[in-house]
Amino acid sequence: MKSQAGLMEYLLMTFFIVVVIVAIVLFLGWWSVMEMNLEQKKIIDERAFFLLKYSGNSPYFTREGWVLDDAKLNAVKALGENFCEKLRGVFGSGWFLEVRILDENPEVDCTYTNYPDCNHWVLCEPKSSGKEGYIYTIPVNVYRNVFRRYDIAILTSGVYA
Amino acid sequence: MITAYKVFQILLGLILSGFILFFLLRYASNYVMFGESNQKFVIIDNLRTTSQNVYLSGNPVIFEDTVRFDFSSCYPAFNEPTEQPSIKCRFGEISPLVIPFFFMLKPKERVFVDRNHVDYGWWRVYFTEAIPETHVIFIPMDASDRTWDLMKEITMAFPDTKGFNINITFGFCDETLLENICGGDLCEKKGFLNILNMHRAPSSGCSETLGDEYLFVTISDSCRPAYVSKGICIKPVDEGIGYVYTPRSQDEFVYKDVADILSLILGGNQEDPFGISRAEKLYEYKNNLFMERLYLAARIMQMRAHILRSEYQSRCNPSLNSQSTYCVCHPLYDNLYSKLDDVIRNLRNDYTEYNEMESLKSSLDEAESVYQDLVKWGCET
Repeated sequence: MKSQAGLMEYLLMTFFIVVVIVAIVLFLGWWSVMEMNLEQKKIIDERAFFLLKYSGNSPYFTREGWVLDDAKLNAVKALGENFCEKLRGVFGSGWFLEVRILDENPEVDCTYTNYPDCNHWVLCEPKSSGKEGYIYTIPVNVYRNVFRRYDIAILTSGVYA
Repeated sequence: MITAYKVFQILLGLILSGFILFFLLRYASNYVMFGESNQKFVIIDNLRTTSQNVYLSGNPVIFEDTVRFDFSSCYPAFNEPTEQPSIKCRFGEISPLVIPFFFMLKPKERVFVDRNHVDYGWWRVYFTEAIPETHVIFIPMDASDRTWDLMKEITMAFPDTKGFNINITFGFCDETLLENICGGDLCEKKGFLNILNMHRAPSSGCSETLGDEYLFVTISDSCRPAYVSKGICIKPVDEGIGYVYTPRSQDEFVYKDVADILSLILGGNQEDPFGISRAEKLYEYKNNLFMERLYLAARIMQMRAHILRSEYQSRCNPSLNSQSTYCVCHPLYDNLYSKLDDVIRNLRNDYTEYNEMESLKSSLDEAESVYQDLVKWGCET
């Protein structure tokens, strides 16, 4: 009778130890997933910041570092959404770019027909909204080819997760 | 006397302790391996970040962390056009690699990271390069302008390490090694360019056997597959275009710019289990990447030329001032538009053939010439 009670005691203790081990494993798993989510957000944030700097220096949009070329911006806009897909091969998925010249005029989106009488470009606009975005903004210069002058503008670049 | 209960206790204790011991040992060994891989990942990721910073700033740096492990299995890989390039290593892959990045990683060696570029006039493509301590040894088999210009171009493609405690030096081999030719010292980039401007003499070959830190570049009209036993052999055919051979009998690469040659020099002949050399991989990466980015740049610049031509044409009033910027520039932009059309058409080919590379080079040269006209007439400032 005594040995049977000891056996039960032993089995209960073993069961309890297994439960504790499983709980620890589950907790560590949950902790790792949370860490990975945080790390992923950090990576996307760093990517968005790098792409801002890269866009501001990319010869696709600029004439020199941090000086954008208005005719190049218009060219990318005119080349359309299919071309954006190709650009995303360079800049990655979810990337977009917006430039707004800081003048007193109302915002006029640049198109193929109204160049150069416009002051706002949105390149590779994301199709669906509601996604979490990582966006950075910086002041830049824009060279207006036709007027042969430099304007001050705000460059916004970001990625959608 | 031992009871059944005692036997049960002993057995259960043995099973449990064995299980825990096994689990701990297994976990510990996995952790050691995982820990090393993780550190390697972090180092390669740091190298990628460093290369991005160098790309943006243009300031060279020495990257020290590669001394900790062997990263010689790593290479930049071009993935399908919809995916971004990445760095592939035996222990895993780091993605994305946004900027063009050529690197040569030797086991446990530091690398010098710098920015360089290829200039097409209407577009300048920047790339970063990471190179360990290296001696580039030229073996020019003739003393023609073409050979000397090519040596200058190749030297220009390497970073200038003067003032840093890691050295990329240049020299000749004419039967014996001629290295200490800059006032009795090793020549770095600028010193060697001066030597190339001042002296000219062909080499009669090279019989030196030297270590891996020496990269041999033979330039000869006689180059053919497996002609050289070390380094690369360049056979210039026309200005800026020709063939490159390696010691591997199956290798024949066409070059059309110095970045092609650089990728083959840095790549080396180390083969993966599928028999593909690192030089081949780096050459493939360079060409696919440059072709993709050149295509995008040509499309943007062509559309830009079209937009500016239309705008300038509408603003040109010859009766008022036929020499105005608008009147002078719009025909030139029209010309650039058609030349870039040729470039785009040529970029659709696969560049393994000399003829196709030659037609691309020709169209790129023509577009550059038109762009220089635009600069000359003040249309591009």
